Amino acid sequence: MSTKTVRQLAEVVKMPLERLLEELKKAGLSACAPDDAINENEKMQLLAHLRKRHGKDEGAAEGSLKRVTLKRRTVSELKQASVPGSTTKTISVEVRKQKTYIKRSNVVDDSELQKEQEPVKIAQMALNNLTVFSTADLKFGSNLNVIVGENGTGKTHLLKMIYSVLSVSAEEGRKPKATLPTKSVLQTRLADKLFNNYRPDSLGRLVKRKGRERCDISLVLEQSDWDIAFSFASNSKSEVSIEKLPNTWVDVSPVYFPTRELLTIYPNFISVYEGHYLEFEETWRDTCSLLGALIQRGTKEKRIRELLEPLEIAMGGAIVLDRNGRFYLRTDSGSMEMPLVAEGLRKLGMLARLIATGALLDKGYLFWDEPEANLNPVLIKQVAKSILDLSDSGIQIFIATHSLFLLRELEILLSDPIRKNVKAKFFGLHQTDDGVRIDQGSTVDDIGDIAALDEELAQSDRFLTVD
Amino acid sequence: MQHFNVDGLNFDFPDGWQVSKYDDWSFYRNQFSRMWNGIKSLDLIAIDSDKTAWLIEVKDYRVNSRTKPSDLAEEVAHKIFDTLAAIIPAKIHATDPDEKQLARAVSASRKLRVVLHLEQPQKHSKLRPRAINPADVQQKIRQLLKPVDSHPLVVELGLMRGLEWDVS
Repeated sequence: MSTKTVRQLAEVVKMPLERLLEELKKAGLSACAPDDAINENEKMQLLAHLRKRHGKDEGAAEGSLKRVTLKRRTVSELKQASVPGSTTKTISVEVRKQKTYIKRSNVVDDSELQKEQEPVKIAQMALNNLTVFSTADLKFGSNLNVIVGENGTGKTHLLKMIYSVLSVSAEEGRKPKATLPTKSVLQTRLADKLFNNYRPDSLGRLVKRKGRERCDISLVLEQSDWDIAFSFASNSKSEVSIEKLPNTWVDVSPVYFPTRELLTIYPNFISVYEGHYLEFEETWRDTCSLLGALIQRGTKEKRIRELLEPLEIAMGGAIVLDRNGRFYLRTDSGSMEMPLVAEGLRKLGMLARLIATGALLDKGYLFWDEPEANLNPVLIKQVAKSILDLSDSGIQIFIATHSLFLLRELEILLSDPIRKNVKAKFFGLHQTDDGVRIDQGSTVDDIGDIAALDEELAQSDRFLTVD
Repeated sequence: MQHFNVDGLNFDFPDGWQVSKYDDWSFYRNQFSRMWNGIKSLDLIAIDSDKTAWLIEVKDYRVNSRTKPSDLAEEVAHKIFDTLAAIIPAKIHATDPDEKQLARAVSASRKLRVVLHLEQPQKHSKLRPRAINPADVQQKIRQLLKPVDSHPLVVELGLMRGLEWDVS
C-alpha cells in the first residue's frame, strides 16, 4: 500500500514540510510530526480540505463532476519562403480553445452575490427640533417618497437634510486616500455641508428655536453599516456632534435637483463657485459636477436607452455637452443652445443628462424639489412616468411637491398592476402651534388635508358665487 | 326595473336588487333622527345580487346649490356615517318589516360602496368646463371615507362609470 510519511508526501507534492504539516492540522488529521505515516484515506481528506479552501466544494473533491471543461488544442505549421530562393521558414501555429460548462444548479452563488449588490435604501429618519419641525419619525418607502405641503412647511428642509448626510458620506468615501469614517472628519464635514446647503447665518440657526435647544438627526439605512446619528445646538458654529458613527461610507453619490434647472448655468459654474464666495447653495455645485460627468458606456447602455428615449421624444432631441463647455439640445434640424430651449425642457434635459452619465441608473438617491416647477402638464405627465421608471430601476426617490396634477399623475401610474411592487410613501406637512406635524402613509389619502385640493374646491365655491 | 325619484332624477335599478329610499324610512324620521339635532340621511341604499351594499347620495346643483362644493365631501361623509350608524338599530327595532329587512341585508352585505351622483351647476366657462371638478370631490370623499370604501365614485348623467342602474 502507498502509506507514506509526511516528509515523503511533502517531497512528492513539492510543498514545504512545515506548510504541509500546518495544512494537515487544519484538515483535522492526526499526523503532526514529519515521520508520522499518512494513508490513502487521509490523503483524500487532505485533498478535500485543500479544495474547499480554494473555493471548490467537497462534492467536487469527491469526484462528482459539476463542471466540465473542454479543451481543444490544434497544432499546425505554416511554411513561408521569405525571399524567393532562400530557405523556407516554418512557423508553428497552436490554437487553444477552452470552454467550461457549469451545472446550472451550482450558479446560485451569483444571485446571492447580486443580492449583496442591491442598492441600499434609506429606511428611516428621526429628527428633533430641525427648523420648523419639533419632532418627527419618517419611515421611507424603498422606491418613492412624496412630501406634500404648502410653502413654508419645510419640504425642502427635509430633502436637504437627507441629501446632505448622504453626500458628505459619498464625497468622503470617494477620496483617493479615504479612511473609514471617523468622528473628527464627520463632525466638521457634516457641519460644513449643512451650512453650505441650507445657507443659514450660522449652523445653529437650523435648530428650531424655543430657548436653547438641540437638533437631533438620525438616519437608518437598510444596511446598518451606514446608519448615522448626530446633533447640534442652537449655538453651534462649525461642528456637529456625532452620536452614531457609520462603519463605512456610502458608495454612491446622491443627486439633488433644485427647483431651477442648471444646464444653462453649467458653463464655468463650478470653477467660479470654487474660486469665489457665492450665495448659491452647494447642491447646485454638486449637481453641476454630476452633469459634467462622462457619458456611461458599456453593459448598461441598453437600460439607459430605455430610460432616455421617452425623455428625448418629449424634448424633441438629445442633450449634448459641447467641447466649449455648454449644453445643447441636438435635434434633427440642428443644435440649439440651452438658454434658447424652453425652461421646462431644460429640467427634463437635466434628468436625461444624469441618466446618460449613469448617475441615475440602477442605484442611488434622487432628491427633487418641486419637479413640477416650470413644467407644463404634458411635461409633468412625462416626469411622473420617468420618476416611477427610475424608482423601478433601483433609485430611491424623494420629491417635494404641491402640485395636485403631479400627485394625481403618480396615483394613476401607481394604480397600474405592473407597478404593484412599487413601495411608495406619502408625507403630509401640516402647520400646527407646535411646529409642523408630519402625517405619513402609503397613499395620498393617509396624509391629511392637501392644501392644493382644498384650494381647488374653494375656487369652485368662488366660481359659483360670482355672477 | 324598480323606479325611484330623488330630487327630480329618475333612478332605475335592475330587478332582484333590494333598494330603498332611506330618507323616507319611518325608523329614521320618527326615531333615529330624533336623538339629537344634526343627524343626516343618505338618499338611497341598494343591495345587488352579489351582496354589495351601494350607499348613494344624490346632489343636483341644477336644482339647488345649498352646499358649497368645498363642503360637499364632508356632508356626504357625514351622511354615510349617520346612515351606517342607524343600520344596526333599524335591523333590531324598525317597525316597518321592509326597513327591517333592508337593514338586515345591509349588515349581511359583503362589500360597501359609496356613490355620489353629482349633477353639475348650469354655470360653466372655458376654464371651468365643469364648475365642480368631480375628481376633487371624489378624492376628498376618499380621504374621509377610506375605512368605509377606499374607492368611492362620483358619477353624473352620461358618465355612470359602469354602474348597473340607469338615471334619467
